[in-house]
Amino acid sequence: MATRTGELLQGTLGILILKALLADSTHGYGIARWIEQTTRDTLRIEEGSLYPALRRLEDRRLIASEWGISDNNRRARYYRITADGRAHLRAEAAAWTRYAGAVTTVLRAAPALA
Amino acid sequence: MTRPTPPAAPRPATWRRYLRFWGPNVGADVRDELQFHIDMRTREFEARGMDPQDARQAALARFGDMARVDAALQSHDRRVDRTASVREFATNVGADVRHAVRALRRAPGFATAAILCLALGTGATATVFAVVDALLLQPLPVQHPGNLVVIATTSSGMTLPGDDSYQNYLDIQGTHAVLEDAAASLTDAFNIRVGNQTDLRTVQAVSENYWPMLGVRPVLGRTFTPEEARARAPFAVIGYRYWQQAFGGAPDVVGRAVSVDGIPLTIAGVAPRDFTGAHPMIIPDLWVPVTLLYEIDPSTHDQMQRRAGGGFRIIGRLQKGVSLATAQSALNVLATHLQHQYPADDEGKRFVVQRELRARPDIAVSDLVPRVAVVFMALTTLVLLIACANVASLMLARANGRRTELAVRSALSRRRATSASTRRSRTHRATSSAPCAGRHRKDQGRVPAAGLDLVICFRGGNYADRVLFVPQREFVPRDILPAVARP
Repeated sequence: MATRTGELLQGTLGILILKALLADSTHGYGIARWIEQTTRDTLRIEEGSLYPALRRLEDRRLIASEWGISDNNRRARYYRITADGRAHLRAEAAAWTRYAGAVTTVLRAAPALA
Repeated sequence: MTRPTPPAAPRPATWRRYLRFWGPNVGADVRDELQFHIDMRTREFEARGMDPQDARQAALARFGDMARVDAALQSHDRRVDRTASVREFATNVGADVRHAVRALRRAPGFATAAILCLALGTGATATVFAVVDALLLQPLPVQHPGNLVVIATTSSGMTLPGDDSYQNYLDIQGTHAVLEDAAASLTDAFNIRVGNQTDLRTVQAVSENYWPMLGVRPVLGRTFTPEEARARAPFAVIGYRYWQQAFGGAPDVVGRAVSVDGIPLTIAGVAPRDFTGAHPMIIPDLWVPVTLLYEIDPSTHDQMQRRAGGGFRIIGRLQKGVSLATAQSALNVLATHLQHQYPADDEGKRFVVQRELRARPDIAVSDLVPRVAVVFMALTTLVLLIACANVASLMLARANGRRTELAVRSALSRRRATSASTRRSRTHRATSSAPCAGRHRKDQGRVPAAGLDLVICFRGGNYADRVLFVPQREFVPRDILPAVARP
């Protein structure tokens, strides 16, 4: 599963991270876990690319980070979404939905798949 | 899933603050972040019933290439940290300088104390270094100072090498196998009369080849030639300082008359400003050919003829490609020869040859110089360190008094107190120190320690941040904030 969704995730990992941070700020593991739980393990993000992706988003000021204490009393780096990040997520989500809808329409067009 | 509580202020172990003297530890932060991820995943797998060993393995396998990600994150974070601090520094410097000047004007007592401390510290160090530099390190301002040597004499009764007689000098000058040439000078004080004014001045009687051998060009007029010296032509060369003092730097000084102990001489030229003789500790006012010495001071007649005694400092030039050791052995041969030929005068006489730069300030004591110089430089460096420490403790004491102000500042600031705002107040402190240090540094051209105290201030300030101001959020009761915010 992970291998087959890997390519797809490359382009969309940013949107997934932003969406995960929309409700509340959390650490890298929290983001990965939220995506897994929300999609009931359909999407499993590649953890090796999660942290570099977080750095890229932070460089673009779509998210911000600071050190905090986790609920099991460990030092952890917490990420939160910025105002720019919210705006970016809205635009990207709309484009993604349009794109997914278009692909779905194509796939449903006649002749039907066997 | 369980959401963590909103992040509280991090609370690292107290002693860890002392490890952060050189700023944030990027490597440790990246490791902490990734380790946290692995630990959480391991816990998740354990909760699903895996045994701890397997859970850890599975978590690592799930993550992928840990080392590669770690390296990529570290290099990214280092770059970000660098550019962030550079940008922050650049944008803050202007405001900080203004803030520093204001703060110093608000506390003139503190400013005076700090300025005095640093002025004394850097002043003392710079002075000692300037003396050491001029006396021991700078080569003579003559042609090819590298192959100049000083030749001194020890006789049976004397342990320290010193001057020799003129007759022995002539023999030393004759060792052309090792010495290209050698010049001798005798320094004494004589009464010099210019117009109606007479004062006691330092006069150097020099061998006829003194000027051509050193290759020094006068700033005004000319020097006396060997032919003139041999013909006892009454010409003198005056020193730059003496020219300024006695003649007010008059451009028409060449050709004027001076008299040395009653003997009338004509000024032939003025030595250049940086040339003050071949001995670093003696600044002659006037040079005369040694052939005139007898006329100026008849009592020197015997001295010029005898081989015993001394008075003449000998400086020579090594032949090209001749080493100091070769020159020394040639002079040993000469010494043995002289001992045999003139047993009455030259008994037990030996010659010592040393490079001119190594014969500072005088060949008699130059062996001790490295040790003495180290002691003096260490002492003055200590003085500078003490001055820095004084100012640092002054600043600490003052910072202690400003705790409330700093706490309010950081509490009102939009950013977290422990991140950028302290970096900014650290820049404040570094720039507060700069004007102090700058005022007296203007005229200290060559101060090697110039940037050092700024570094100490900057890093020390950084350090003080972590030790003094980390817990500052606790100093502000929450209810102070509305009161401060209200006008």
